Amino acid sequence: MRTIVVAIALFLLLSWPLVTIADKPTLVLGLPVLYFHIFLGWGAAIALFALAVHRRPKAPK
Amino acid sequence: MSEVVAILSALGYLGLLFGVAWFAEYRQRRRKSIIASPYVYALSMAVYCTAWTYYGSVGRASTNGMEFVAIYVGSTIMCALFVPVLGRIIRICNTLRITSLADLISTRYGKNFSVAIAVTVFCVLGIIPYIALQLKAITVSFDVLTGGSSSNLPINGLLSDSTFWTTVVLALFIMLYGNRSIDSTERHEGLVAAVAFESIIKLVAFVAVGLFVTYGLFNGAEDLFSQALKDERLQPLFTLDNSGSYAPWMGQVVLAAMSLIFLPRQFQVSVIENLDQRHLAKATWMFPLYLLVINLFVLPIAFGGMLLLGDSVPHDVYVLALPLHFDHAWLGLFIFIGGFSAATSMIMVETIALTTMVSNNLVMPALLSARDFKVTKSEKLSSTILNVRRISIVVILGLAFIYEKTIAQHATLVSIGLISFVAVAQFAPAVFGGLIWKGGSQRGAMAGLCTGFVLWVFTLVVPSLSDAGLIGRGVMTDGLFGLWWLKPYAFLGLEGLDPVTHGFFWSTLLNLAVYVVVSLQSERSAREIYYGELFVDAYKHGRTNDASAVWRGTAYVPDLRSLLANFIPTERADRALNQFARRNNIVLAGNGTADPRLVTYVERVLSGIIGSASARIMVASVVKEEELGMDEVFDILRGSQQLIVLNKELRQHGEELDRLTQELRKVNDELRRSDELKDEFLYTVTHELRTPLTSIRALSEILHDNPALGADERQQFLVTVTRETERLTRLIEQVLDLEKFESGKQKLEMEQVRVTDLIDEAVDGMGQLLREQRIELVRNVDGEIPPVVADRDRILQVLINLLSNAIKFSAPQKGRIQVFASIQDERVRVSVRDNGHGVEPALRELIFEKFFQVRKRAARSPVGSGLGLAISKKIIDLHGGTIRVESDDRAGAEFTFTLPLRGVGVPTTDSDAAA
Repeated sequence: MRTIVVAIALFLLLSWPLVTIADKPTLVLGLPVLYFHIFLGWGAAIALFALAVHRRPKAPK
Repeated sequence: MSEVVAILSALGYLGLLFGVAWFAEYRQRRRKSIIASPYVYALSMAVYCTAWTYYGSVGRASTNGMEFVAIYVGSTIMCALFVPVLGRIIRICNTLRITSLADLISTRYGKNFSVAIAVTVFCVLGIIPYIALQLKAITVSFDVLTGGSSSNLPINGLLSDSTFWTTVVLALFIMLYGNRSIDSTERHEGLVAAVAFESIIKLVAFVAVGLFVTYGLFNGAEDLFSQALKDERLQPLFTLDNSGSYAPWMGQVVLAAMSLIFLPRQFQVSVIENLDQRHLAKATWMFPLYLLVINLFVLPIAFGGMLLLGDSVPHDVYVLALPLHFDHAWLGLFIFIGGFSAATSMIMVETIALTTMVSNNLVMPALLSARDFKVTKSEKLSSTILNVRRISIVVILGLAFIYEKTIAQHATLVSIGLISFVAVAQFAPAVFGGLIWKGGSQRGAMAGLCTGFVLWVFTLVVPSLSDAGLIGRGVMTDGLFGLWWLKPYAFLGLEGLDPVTHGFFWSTLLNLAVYVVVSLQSERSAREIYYGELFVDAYKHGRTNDASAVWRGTAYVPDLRSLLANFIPTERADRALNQFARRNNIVLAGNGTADPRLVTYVERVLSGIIGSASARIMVASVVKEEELGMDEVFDILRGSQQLIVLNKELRQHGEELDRLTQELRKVNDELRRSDELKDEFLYTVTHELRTPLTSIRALSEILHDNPALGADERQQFLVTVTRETERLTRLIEQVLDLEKFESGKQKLEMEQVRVTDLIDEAVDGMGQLLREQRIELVRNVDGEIPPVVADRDRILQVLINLLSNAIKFSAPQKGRIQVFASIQDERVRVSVRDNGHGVEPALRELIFEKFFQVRKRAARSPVGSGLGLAISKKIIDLHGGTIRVESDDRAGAEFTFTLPLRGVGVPTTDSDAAA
């Protein structure tokens, strides 16, 4: 649960600054830099969600 | 492409959908559901991607660049909250048999009828444009595909209008697969399967056109984007500067997050159709992954369309126009089917969700409270409910059709969609507030909803009516009543925001503010307090509320029974009441008064059929209710919580009992094993004793029965008898030794001992045997070994036993035994290594058990009782040492024991203990 909350907070806090950082009319790897960064961040967030919901609970010490 | 082919393809596709739905229901009847899977659940959620996504996103990207993605980023954020937020809503809905968003909100605020009506009306008004948008998408795409102009047909040209016929077929489909049972809590298996299937089709179709544009019309993404970057028209689309600033981006992110929960179709598939709450976990990442994939090619298609088609076709239809323009008619047909799929799935689910709300909260309450409405048989009422819903389907789709033919013609797909998003976002304060704040009141919710809705109409609907020419432009330019602060796009003088962000900002902000302020100022009824507690502490109260009742008054069992039988068959009603009574220890006396819990239960069952508001009306018609006091409500809640605590304690005790049972079972197993070991031990001992005894007896009998036996022979027999007697004695001594060690009676005579001396002594003792067998023995002592505190005789016994075993398992004449002694980690380490057959890995632990002998591996029958290693282990253990065997299979074995240099506190003789 904590991971999900952290993910949301990061997403909310960083989405706009990240977007503005990449807000340039240039290409990276043949793709618009904004397009590249948004989809990369989006994919990373999805991976984080998957890790968060499927993580195994730690065994009690 | 000809119209006939397009129409036949669309009808064929709808036929396929019928087939999928039929198959799903066929499987459900055989109890092999195909939708009981998290993957199908996540795919059904993709009903979110409508024609608005399929066509509209490309249109938006071609004018605002990457801004279109904000909607999907917002939805992705909400996905992270699926488990905590949606999970709680699902739990509440399952517990209280809630069947729609209107039901959820009205139940939270004390099953208030006016709240249910308001939510239903707002939903219908907010969503009908969205359904119209789908119809418009179908019509426009059909025109693009066939080169026709049916989208421009007037509303009176119905029979030649493809949109009209599409609407008719969809209405039939919904009636068949979405409106079969009167119980709204029952899952629509066929419909969900069809929606999941459609999600796959639209995704594949969209990705196909994306690949076609990127790799078929251009030489990959780099080529496409490089050409776009050189085009002055497209350069601004590479950045967000074109769309303004932070506000629209964040506005759309939040708006989309709200809509993912509050769009009626999303509520329907993710809450009402949810079969298992655990499916939410997979949907948390699978659904946003679907969104990501379907959006991957939006920008390439938009840029491709701008570069190749420009403004020759509406940007919304680039998806379809591109393959058609380059003579790929069949690909175009497939793309059309994909868009058709996106639109029809939305229309079906949205219509069912709206129908449930309209029928349960508007029509049925009006019908049931009509004075001349009488019900005599459940069949009649069931068919009345179904007919009401069928008519609702026709009315909703009819209104959407009219909207499409009148107002929607003047707007883009995206703008219509966003207006609907803002409408449903008005439910956010009432729902989220109701889930986290017990103080939220019915008056607050109602006031907030009305405020939000009025502002939604003013800031977003009025401009679209003005654009359609249905109202004058004056209100837009001069403000309502000529007041400057009542301009739809500049409310209270706030200018500079895009219309959607502006409307969303004001409507939601004031909705929230009014909700909070009015809630703080108003008193809540006992019922509101009760449901407030249930919603906010959903997990604390759990599902035990099945047995609690927030009701006081007089009711009779026969009345409740006949009321229930009006809606479901009599035998089913009886069974349900009897089961509930048995579960909660309620006596169902023939004509007696009903337990309050029974009244609440009947109301809950009816809620699943006709909605909370209607159910309340129906129950109120057969009971005499008294107003509940706050204290009583709190007592009920306390009782419910105590029940939870008791259940929890009971569960803990159960778990404790399980644990103890496990332990007992383990101890029993150990006892049984010990018993088996004892039996095995006795069997082996008696067997070992019998062998020498048999020999002694046989020889003694020969001697006794044959006095004439020769002296030499007699002497030989006597030697054998003596040897067997010694063997018998040795065995008995070993058994007694072992028993002493195991019972802890064996005391050690501890003294300073030099291990090297003991090795020499043991080797000397075995000298004769080594010489007889011609086995070589090598001593290898590493440096000076200091003395240890040990029982000299016992350690000597261990050494002799190990050497004896090594000799036994070494081949005569080829055998080689090495004895090592060294100091390692503050311990004396002694090893006896032979070059015999070795010990298999699986047997290395077993050989230290009593009577174990490696019979199979021995070249010759070993001599001995099989107790030597067991006794040796006991001796070494008592000295605080270790003993183990290492072996290279078939290349000999090495037995090693260690003794601590400083000795350990082991049991010693009484004299030592006294000293």
